[in-house]
Amino acid sequence: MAQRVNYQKELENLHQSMIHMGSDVEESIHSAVHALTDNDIELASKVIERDDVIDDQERKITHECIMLIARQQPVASDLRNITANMKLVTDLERVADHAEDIAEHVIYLNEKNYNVTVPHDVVKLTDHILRMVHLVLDAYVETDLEKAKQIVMMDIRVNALYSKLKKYLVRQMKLDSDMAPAMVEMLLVCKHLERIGDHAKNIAEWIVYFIEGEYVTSAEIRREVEKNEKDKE
Amino acid sequence: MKKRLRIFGNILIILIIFIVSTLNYRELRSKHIQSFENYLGNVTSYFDQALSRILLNSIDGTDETKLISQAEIIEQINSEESGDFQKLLEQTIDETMEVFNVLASDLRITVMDETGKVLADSIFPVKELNNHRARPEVWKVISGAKNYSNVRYSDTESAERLYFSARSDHNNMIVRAAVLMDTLIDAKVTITLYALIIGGVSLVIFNLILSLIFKKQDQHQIDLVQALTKIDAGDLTARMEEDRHASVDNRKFVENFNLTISNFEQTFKEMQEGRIWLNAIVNSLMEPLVVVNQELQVVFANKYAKTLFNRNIDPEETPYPFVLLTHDAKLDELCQRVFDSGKTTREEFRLQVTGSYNAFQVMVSPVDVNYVVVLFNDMSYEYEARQLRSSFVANVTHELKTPLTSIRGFVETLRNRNNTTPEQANNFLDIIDVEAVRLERLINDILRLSDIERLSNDSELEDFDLVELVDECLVQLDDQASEKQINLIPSDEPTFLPVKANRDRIKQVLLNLLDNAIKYHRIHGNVWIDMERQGKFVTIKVKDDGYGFDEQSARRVFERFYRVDKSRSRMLGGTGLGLSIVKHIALLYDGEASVKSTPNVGSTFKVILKI
Repeated sequence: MAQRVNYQKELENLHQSMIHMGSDVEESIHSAVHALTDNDIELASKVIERDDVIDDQERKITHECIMLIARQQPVASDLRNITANMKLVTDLERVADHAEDIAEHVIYLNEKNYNVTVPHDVVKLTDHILRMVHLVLDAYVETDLEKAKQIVMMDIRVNALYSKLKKYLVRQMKLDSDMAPAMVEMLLVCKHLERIGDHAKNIAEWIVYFIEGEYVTSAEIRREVEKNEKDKE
Repeated sequence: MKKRLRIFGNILIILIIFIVSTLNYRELRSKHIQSFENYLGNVTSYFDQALSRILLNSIDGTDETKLISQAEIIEQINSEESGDFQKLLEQTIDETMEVFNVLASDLRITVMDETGKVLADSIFPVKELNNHRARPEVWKVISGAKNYSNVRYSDTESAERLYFSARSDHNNMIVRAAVLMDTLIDAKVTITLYALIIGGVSLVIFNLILSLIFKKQDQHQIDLVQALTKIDAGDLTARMEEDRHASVDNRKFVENFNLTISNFEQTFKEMQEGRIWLNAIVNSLMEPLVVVNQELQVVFANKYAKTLFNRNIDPEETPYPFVLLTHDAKLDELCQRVFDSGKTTREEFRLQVTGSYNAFQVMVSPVDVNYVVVLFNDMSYEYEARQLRSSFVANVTHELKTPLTSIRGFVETLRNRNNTTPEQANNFLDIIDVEAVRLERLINDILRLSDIERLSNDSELEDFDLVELVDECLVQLDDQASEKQINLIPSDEPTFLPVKANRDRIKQVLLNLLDNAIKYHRIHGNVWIDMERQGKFVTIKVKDDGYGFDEQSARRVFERFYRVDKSRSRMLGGTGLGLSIVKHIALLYDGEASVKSTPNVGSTFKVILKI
């Protein structure tokens, strides 16, 4: 029995480490986005510094998961919990990597002295991504199924915004070929943002898996949510 | 208690019934045996007498008077060839049986000699029977008893019999009579049956009585459990039913129980109300308030904290790490320090809030050993104000110093008269004069601005015609305009616009706008002045077809000391405060000032005033 108490404690610790890491990742992406909109080099370099910390956290959490599986041989929902965490932590770390990439682009744009104003739609995209990352953490802490499903729906909007932005940036490149390199950077930033959205969606799917016990693809979630909305009407 | 009583009671009843019926049976049996003993005694004595009579008859009656012993007779009979003692015995047995068969059909008579050897038997042939001396009833008689009876199981017959043996009075033979005990079996069955019936009935009655006695008690207990279950589920209105027929103890208990629960309910309600109050107060606080426990987890966050940090988790249900709310590990360290020291601490932080970073003064104070309260004081406005103040002071100092330096420079030059011609000196004096005027104007503007800023409502309000005031301004600026050949074109409509305001203040607005329009205009330009009333508000528009400026400048043009073109503005004697004054007057009259401008096309300044 004493061993089980210890086990519960370890599971709780794992959960706490995940939330701490999530908080750091959120801070990273927040800073990266601000560095982009305010052209803040100092903030951007902080993001790059923080990435190492997050990488360490990922390694530590993965190790914890493996040790838990090896020592306690969990079954049923506990096993699901640990596997989901193990998958989730990878996605979380990838989000931080993309934040770092965005920060690097910001620094590059600044070094080359491209005076680009960030297009309004990019700001919109960043708002959306920040909201998604924020919500996915809420969903994780509360293990809230509804919030997780909401994130899957938000990703659709992100993808739509991204394709719109791509077209817009290509048009800008054609108009002003001098600004093409800057526009390419901006396009890459957008791509990173879009990828963050995908990772947030993946995390949401893992949360759904953890709660419901079966892996549901985002397409299925989307169909379900749309059906529910239709029923409401 | 009740269960124990039931078990013991039932066992006792069964025991009593068992013992009574057993005793009954024993009594019956012993009586039965006793009566049969008498009966069998009669049988044996009858047999004895019958035998002696037959024996006497068997010899000649002539010797009747001569007393001879039976043994002698038997000897005599046996010695005779024709005489058969055996037959005589059987005859006697038959006779005895005939006499006593009426009462007992199963009578058995056995005749033995003094050694236990069977001489005759009423049921079995003598040859089949062995020596009977081992039988207890026979043995006792052999060993000297007159008679003896006992009940035992007969090996020969496989049945229980009552045996009665007696020594003959006349000879050495032993006569044994026996009856079957099976009549008692019926009695046994009957007694068992009655015992079962009586036992069953009394058990049922006992249990019924027990249930009746405990019925009230049970009801009481059920009521209590029901009430407690309801209370446990959170329904504090649950009470036990008061039963007047219940026992005094129960009634008292119910009364006390209900009273206690009522008191508890009252206290709970008061506490709940207090909690609602407290919640309302804490939630209506316009400052984010968070309670953090020793694990550095948020256990409570008020409404404002939730909206500010946009963390839509209810910490009272799912406590989460403090860092998830603030995203600053240094705040965690601060909380830890407060836990360690137990002293309230204040520090400034820049924290991530929805969409931006804000400056906060964070106050962490311990409430008890386990919790700290964290208050976030949003400092963004103060920060902004502080920054504005310091930049204003820097600007004012700079603006004041420029003309002063110039004045002092020329004064210095003039002192050195040798190097200057009178014309030059005059020229210098002119410059000093211009700079002094500018200094005066600057100081006036600053005073005016601080004056307006200080006011929340304007004083010295009067009714006047705005169109007339515009005309007055136009006349005043006519020289300046004609110098640059600029057309000042007031609109034809309206011809009369009555307003109520401080006339000087409105004139200031008009003069500043028009002065700017002329000052920063190219030669041969046009300036249009337009006014209209919309309900309580009057809109004044001053439009020019001058140089204009870009969007970035348009955003900052109302800031103090902001100049679109710094060198030109100073040269023309601007203080950099004109539009700022316009803006503040507009604010004073609940309005606003705005500008739309396109480079090389022109600008339109719009002022809305509630006059």
